[in-house]
Amino acid sequence: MAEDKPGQAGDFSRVIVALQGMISAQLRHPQSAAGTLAVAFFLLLALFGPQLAPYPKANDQRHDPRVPPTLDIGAFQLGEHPFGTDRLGRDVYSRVILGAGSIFRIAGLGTLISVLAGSALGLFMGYQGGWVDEVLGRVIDALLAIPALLLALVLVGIIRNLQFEAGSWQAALADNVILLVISLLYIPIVARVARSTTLDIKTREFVEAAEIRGESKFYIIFREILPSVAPSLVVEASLRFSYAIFLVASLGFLGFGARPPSPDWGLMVNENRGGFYQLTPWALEFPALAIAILVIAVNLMSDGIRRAVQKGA
Amino acid sequence: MLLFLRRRFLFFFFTYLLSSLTIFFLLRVLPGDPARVIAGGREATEDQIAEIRAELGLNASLPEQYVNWLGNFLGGQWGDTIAFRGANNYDLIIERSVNSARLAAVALLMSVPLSLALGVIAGLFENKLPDILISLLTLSVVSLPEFVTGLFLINIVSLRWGRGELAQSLGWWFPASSAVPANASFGEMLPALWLPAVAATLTLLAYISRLTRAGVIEELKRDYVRTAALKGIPWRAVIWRHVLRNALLPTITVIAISISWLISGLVVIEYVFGFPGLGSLLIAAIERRDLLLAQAIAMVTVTVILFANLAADVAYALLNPRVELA
Repeated sequence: MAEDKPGQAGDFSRVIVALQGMISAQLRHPQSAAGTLAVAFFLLLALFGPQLAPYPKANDQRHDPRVPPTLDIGAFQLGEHPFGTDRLGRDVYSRVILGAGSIFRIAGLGTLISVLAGSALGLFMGYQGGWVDEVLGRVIDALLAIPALLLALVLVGIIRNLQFEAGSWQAALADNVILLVISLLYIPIVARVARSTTLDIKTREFVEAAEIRGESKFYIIFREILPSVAPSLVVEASLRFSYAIFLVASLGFLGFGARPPSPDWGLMVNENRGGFYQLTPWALEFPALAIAILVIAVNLMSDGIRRAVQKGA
Repeated sequence: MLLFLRRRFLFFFFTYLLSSLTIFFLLRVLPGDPARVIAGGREATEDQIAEIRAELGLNASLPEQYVNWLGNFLGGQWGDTIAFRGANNYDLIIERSVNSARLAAVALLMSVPLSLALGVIAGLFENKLPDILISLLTLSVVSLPEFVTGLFLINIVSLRWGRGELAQSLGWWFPASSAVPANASFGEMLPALWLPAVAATLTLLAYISRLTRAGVIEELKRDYVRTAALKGIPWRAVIWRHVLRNALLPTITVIAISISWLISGLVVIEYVFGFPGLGSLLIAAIERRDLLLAQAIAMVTVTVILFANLAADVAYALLNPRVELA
């Protein structure tokens, strides 16, 4: 562990030590390690989906409709349509693989944007203090009183009804409305965590020392305080990611996410429920299973990260 | 104590003001003409837009509009629905709220005792087998999205068990859809209600039991527990009379917070089961571009959540004489 020497106090080596602790703690808890592995597996699907799917153009390509799954786990055989085909004759296996990309892109980017913006806001609020902090803090508390899903539904509903010129930046924003909504929803939550940790860190000696040295506010916030706040931000980021995946899947299911014929898991579940469920149960069950496994895996992973950081602190 | 209550009420009004402002401005500040959006976008005629413009009082200044709008909301003047011809927003929302409240009540009645029990057991056996089993259960099975558990329940209970001989004789207890007629009594609604309530219970279970577990573990480490044990008081009595009494106090707050959690979950659950509650009404309102109805639903929801939080804090303060004044 790095000593708190002046000038070195804010070294990012602390972050690396924390990361090492995290990895070894993951290994000590098999369920967290399994979760992390499963998340890595889905990440591979997300990155290389078009290469891995047997029918990369599964949205347009039609086969015989309502073919039951050919997957034979006992014989290790995939067959022609491992997860069957839906009522339109699309290969469910390929669509499930292709669907990993959109959920990771939206949930991942949304988490990244909200963590970056939220931490910057929270660090600033916490370090600045005074009336700025008081006012912003109360505004955040009030915003958090509205349930996230409700706010997301209303926002998506409004933004979808707005008319934009094709090709303008507003239209690009409206196309990524879920990403936008997730980022907006989670910024105040991350900011609250960053703020409360900053309040604790800013009274430490190494911050006072930097102030006495006459360092700029920017330097103190990002080089002195941020490395100490980083572990709790990592925990919050992993938690946000699991909620984001949950929210993206739910919005997709409710018909407020990707539009048909996107291979979105939530949308696929919704398109094949009700009367169609009796007809092609596999077209609903496999995407639902994919959502279930991913959500559980991300939860186990973030639980492992939280445990590792709390132990290290 | 009085100081705490006064601060708490001030915060309540501030939060209410701010969240109502947020909901109000969502419709006003975004680019585009709100009247056109409400009238239905591009298809709307200029006459329709002008009519809505006048009806909403959009020609007044923004602060004036906000005050009028909030006054109308508090006075129960919520306008007419566009999505459901012939109904007015107030009657529609009240009817659906009653349904949702029944569902929420059944879900809370099932989930609170069960998750408190699980949380206490997990806390008493920290890091031992029961604890590990319970946290695996709450983390995995229960952290699934509501629509996955909901569809799973419909599949197992209604489509599989519902076909069995026993179920056929009780047939109406296993409906695949929870649609109920308007103004059904609670007893009439119950067969349609219990399955969505189980789905809602599962979403709450993880949340309440994990917080209860943390409370019990923290309380067990206190000095007075050791003193009581050393005094020779039977361990069972220490747990029941001291540990649980103190550890369960904060759960009042937890239950209030979980109401906000429950409301989000109910939106999805009502949609999955086709239950005519406030959540499925919200989705219908947004799908049919009835933004005034959606706005009113959002306001009702926020009102419920803020009152629940206020009530929890006041109850907590009354029950716990050591409540912090700061």
